[in-house]
Amino acid sequence: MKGKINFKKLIFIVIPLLVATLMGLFFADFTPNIALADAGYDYQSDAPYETFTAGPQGSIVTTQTAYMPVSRISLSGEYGALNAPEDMITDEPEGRVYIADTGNKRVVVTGLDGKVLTVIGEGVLSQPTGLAIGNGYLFVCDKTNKLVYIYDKSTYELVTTIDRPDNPLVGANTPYVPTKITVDSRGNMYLVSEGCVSGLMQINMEGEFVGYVGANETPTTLVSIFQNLFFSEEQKNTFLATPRSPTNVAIDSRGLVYTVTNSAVNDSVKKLNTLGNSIMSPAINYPDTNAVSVDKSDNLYTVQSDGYVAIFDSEGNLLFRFGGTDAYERFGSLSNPVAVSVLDDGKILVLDKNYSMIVIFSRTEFADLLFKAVDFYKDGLYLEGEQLWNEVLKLNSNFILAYKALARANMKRGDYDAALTQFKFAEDRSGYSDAYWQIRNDWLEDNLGWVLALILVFTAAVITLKIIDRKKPGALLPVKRAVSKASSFNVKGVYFLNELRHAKRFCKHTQDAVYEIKYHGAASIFTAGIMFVWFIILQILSVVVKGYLFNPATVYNTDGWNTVFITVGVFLLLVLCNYFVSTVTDGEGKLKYCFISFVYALTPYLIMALPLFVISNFLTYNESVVYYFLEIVMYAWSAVCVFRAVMELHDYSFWKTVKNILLTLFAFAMALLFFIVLRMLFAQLFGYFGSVIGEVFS
Amino acid sequence: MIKVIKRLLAVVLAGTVITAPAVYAASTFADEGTSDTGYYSVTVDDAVMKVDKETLNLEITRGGRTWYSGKRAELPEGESDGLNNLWASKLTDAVSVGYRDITRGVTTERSMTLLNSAVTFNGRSDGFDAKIRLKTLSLRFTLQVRLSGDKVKVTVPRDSIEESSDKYRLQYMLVYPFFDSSYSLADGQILVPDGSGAVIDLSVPTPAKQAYSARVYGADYGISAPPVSPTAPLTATMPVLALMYGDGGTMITADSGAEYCSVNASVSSITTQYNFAYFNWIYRETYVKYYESAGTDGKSYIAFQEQMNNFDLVQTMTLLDGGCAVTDVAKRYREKFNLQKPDGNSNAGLRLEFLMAENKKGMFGNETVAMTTSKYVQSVADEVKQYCNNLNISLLGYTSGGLNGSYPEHFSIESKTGGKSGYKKLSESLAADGINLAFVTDFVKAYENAAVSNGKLALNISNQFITLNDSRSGSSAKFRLMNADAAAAQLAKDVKKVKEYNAAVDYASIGSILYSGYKNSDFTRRNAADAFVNAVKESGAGANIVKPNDYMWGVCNGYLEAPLSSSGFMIETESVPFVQTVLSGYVDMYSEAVNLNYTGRELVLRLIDFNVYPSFTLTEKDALELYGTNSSGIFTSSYSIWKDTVKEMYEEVNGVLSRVRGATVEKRYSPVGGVYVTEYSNGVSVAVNYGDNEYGIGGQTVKGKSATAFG
Repeated sequence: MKGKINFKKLIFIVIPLLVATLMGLFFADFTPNIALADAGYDYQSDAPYETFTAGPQGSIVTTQTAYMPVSRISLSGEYGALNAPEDMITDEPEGRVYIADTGNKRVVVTGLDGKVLTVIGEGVLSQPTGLAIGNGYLFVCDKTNKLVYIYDKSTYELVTTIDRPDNPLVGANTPYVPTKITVDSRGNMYLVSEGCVSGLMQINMEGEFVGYVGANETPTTLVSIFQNLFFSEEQKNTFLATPRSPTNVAIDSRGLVYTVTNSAVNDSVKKLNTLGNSIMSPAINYPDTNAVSVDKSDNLYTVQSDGYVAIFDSEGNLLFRFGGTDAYERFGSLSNPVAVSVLDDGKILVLDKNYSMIVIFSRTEFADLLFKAVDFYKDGLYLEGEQLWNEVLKLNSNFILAYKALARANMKRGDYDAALTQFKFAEDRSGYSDAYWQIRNDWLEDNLGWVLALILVFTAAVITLKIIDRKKPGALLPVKRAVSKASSFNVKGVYFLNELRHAKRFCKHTQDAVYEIKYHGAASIFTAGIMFVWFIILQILSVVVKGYLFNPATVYNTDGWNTVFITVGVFLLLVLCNYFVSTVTDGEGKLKYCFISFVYALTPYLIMALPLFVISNFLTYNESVVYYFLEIVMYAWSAVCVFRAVMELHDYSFWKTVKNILLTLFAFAMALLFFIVLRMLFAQLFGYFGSVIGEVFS
Repeated sequence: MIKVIKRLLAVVLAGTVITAPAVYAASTFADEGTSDTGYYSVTVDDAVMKVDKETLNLEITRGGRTWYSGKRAELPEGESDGLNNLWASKLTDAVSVGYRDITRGVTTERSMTLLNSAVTFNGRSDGFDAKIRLKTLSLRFTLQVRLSGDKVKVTVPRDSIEESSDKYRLQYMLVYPFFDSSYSLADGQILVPDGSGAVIDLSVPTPAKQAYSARVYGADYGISAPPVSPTAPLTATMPVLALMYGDGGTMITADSGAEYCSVNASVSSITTQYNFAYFNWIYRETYVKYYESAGTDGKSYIAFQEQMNNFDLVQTMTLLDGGCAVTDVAKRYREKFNLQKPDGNSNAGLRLEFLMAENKKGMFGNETVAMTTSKYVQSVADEVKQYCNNLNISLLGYTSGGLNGSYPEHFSIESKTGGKSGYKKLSESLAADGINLAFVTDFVKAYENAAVSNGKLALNISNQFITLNDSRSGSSAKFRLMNADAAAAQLAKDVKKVKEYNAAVDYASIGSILYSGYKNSDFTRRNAADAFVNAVKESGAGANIVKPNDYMWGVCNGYLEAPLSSSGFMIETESVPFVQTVLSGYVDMYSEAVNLNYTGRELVLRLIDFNVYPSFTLTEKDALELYGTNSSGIFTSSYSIWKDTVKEMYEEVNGVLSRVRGATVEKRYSPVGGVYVTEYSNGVSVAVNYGDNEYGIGGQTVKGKSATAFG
């Protein structure tokens, strides 16, 4: 059998092979690969910008990249390039992008992929600057023609135009120059009319004027108050500042209208309630904001003239800021963004007027995570969002909003200690106060018995001692002797304790105390110096010891040496100024007594400050009135002591003392100015000699 | 009669005045008075080069393709390519120069024929020598062109350049700027050395208004100091450009004088309708000169460099035939270097950089915040070695006082982080486990307030210290650059101490900043590059270098902070892993800190696609401690937070890249949008799918947002 071909076996081998080959060919023809990956994906470069978010102490800190530039829409070919476009809106359900191609006097409609679908308004529009869609229509503001054109969104045919409203409320002097527009679900138009200081014009679909909404307020300054008081109506019209007119407008899914005022430093973006008042807290203070868009979660997307995109949550907390202008013309940088739109998947479209291009940014995983967390936070679902916020913190330890959200989750859970720490990181003092109130309350509930017992024991001890002293006068004699012995302790004739005790008298009988200092040597420079050193130490302790709720300073934002230098410098300069002013206004006080008296006048502060600092650690904002009352008492008492000390020191009448103090303050201001000028001159002198030496030795 | 004599005299006088300069010129440059004309042809191997003796325009034919140094577009009759006389002659002429009128302070660019050129042509068997005289500028130089195999080498020896004008100075030179250029939309690409590398697609209209231009090895801080910021464009670390078409192309390299050139590329609709790429050879630069040396009053004027930069211009055009791609260019570019294969470890690397301490402003002076201790580093190493046997641990901010305020001092170990004994113990333990230890150093920078003698600091051309801002985000630190010799000396001294710890060195800056020094510290960019290369080479310690320029590659064991994209200039179409393709298989490349640039899956896939290993910047304590310091840009770093990501990311990267460690890239292509396949020399291919849909290749299914190795 060897060498003989077994055809039966061969058939069993060949047929399956043939079948397999045919199948292979079949599938090779029709399914070359399993599936196509995302066609059109274009791998780009890293973002050419840093991303920022709100950090500690009101700072802006860097964070993970939140958005990457992924594609762009810029026209070329048969439609020509865009020319200085000024507005853009997206119609996501229809997959369309409308661009106000201002320089080319038309509106361009493209798909989300940038492919041009049609062009509207050629030969009709002169300067289209604002777009809106709503109620099945496309609304186009034309700044030159001073009309709003309404097109049918499906046929692109012109339906009607809205001219200047014929309504007595729209005064003859009120400009009607429609530049931006938004439309609510009923077709009501909110129109920005350039130069109109009364706010947005609300016009219904019939073209009837409904009213003004969202007017800005005139900033109140000292000058404007005086002008308002003393100017005639005519003068007021000439000189008084008029409110800024809004420059852009948007609407959210709930029908709340947002205005943008480009030139406003404060409240640049306002969310208006039904009464037309801003309800944004914290306020968005980003001047040069050009446009705003709102997503389905009511997060705000703004673009600024300096090329930045800033995103806020519905309350106004900054989430991200990125972009910025770029001399190198890199993809993702922006030169003059004028419109922004956000899609349901989080992509942002930004229209850049200078680049004549729409840049599309896509969220990174980090941004996706954050927006999910923000949604929970917005709805008050703190515990549900906790895990997400922890993930956010992993990616950025400085993310302040995350600490705020986690603190609230811990408050809800009853973990007040954790909440306290997180509120402190978040610098949410109000939240910190609430958490501490709970902690203190819990502690008091647990330890109230002990606390009351301690107070009782202490009170009983004091009463007992008093009774003993009254009934048996000799019983406490050893203690009194010890005090007396301590009082007689002196160093080179300076009775330190006695002199310190004189401070007590200074607080109660200031004028007598000053008299005794002047004529009986009741206090020495040495003791005053020691007290002054304590005053300096208290300035440092106010940073270190004072409770967090009442203390904006930290050891990291306070320069200790600077504090010491300023304290010593200001105090000594005041003393000197007072002395010099007094010498020319018949004052009697010597410099030595001026110094001693001024230091002694600080006694209420020297005694009360430290206990107040300590007490502030155990108070919440609910009891802040206690803290501030004590603080006022402390400062007022010291001020009274200073006044009475000056009066006695220089033997002045009341009004002469007032005059002296005012002159002292004036002299102090002059001296300060003199030192500043002197310092600048010396800096220039040293700079000059430095450069001469540099030239010689180089 | 007298009238006639007078008239005759007047005619003679006028004739003399008119002809004298020409006679003088003819006598002075008797051999260069007029140009040679006609064509010269030379054949070397299988290439034929035809030269126009007047313009020195080239036509090289090889393997059925012709490379033109400046061909006009073939347009239908009556149509024009829109070039004016200036551009038309620039297209045709071999050389254009930028010259400065020093009396008026104005720079002008003109091609040689517009500057009244006279060429003395001397044909050779392998090319030609052309003595060129630009009469308008009274400037002479020699252009040498040599054809050898597929290379055309163009040289302008520095010695041959002679200037005799009191008015004009040579500022820069362009040599064959339109070599292998194309017209309008074309089926081709231009490769530029921006970051990792980028290509410009010539077949689609560009939205860009600016051409690509970048100084090779970055700006010369000795001359001008552009602002340093975390978002500055990436540096061109290689003097290379390539024009790639369907039927062939050209790689242009600078083989001498790269320190003094910029790379440029322009496409149709920007300046002209041509697509071209060229080097701009810089002989002199303008700079800001302060009236007083300190420059504190800000009063200054624009001055012009007096001495010409001293370099021989050598530009090589490598003729690429067939369909050439980025990989082909990279392979040819790699031939320039003598690269060594890495160690035999078959696993992908992992770099963990620990910030040991930082300096924080306290109430009374600065305080040191210990962020990580040596014991903690040891505990992390013990954990990570369980799943990674190519672990590299780097220590940052280990000096007394922490990271800030230490340079140029490198070896006073901070006691709060473990002290000398702790570090010694750590180094011994890591060495026993085969874990690489490195100290992160910066020998070219000294903190502005650091105690360093002025003699060690470099002075710029305006006689000032070269002061730079810290490029790290959130940092307000300022540095002064050391002079090259002082930096090299400091390196030699400190690396001896590194060796005591059996460690390598991670060099920041020394490979990525190149500058010249003036006055007391006179050195050129070339001197500095040589000093730095030699110092690293002679130190004998392992060298990992941050973003090294190509001259450092020969002494580089690890490439740190490897760029994973280009700068993203609008003119660029796509980022490509050009640097990675050149170095894959020879130098291990590590990313920037993953934890500070975390974009999720996109980042992991890019690491695998570009064959770059992950690197993390970590601490023991939470990064919140770094707020208010110059390292506040490190906003997340605690190992306890990142440990899971470190493990997961490394295992995924290692799962693919361990299969190609030590192998070179042979080919990279994109079969469909979002999928990239890289073929390596060991027969293994790596497919990366950036898209969401799965894709099948080589019998494997690559799921969306994933990568795989096959073959």
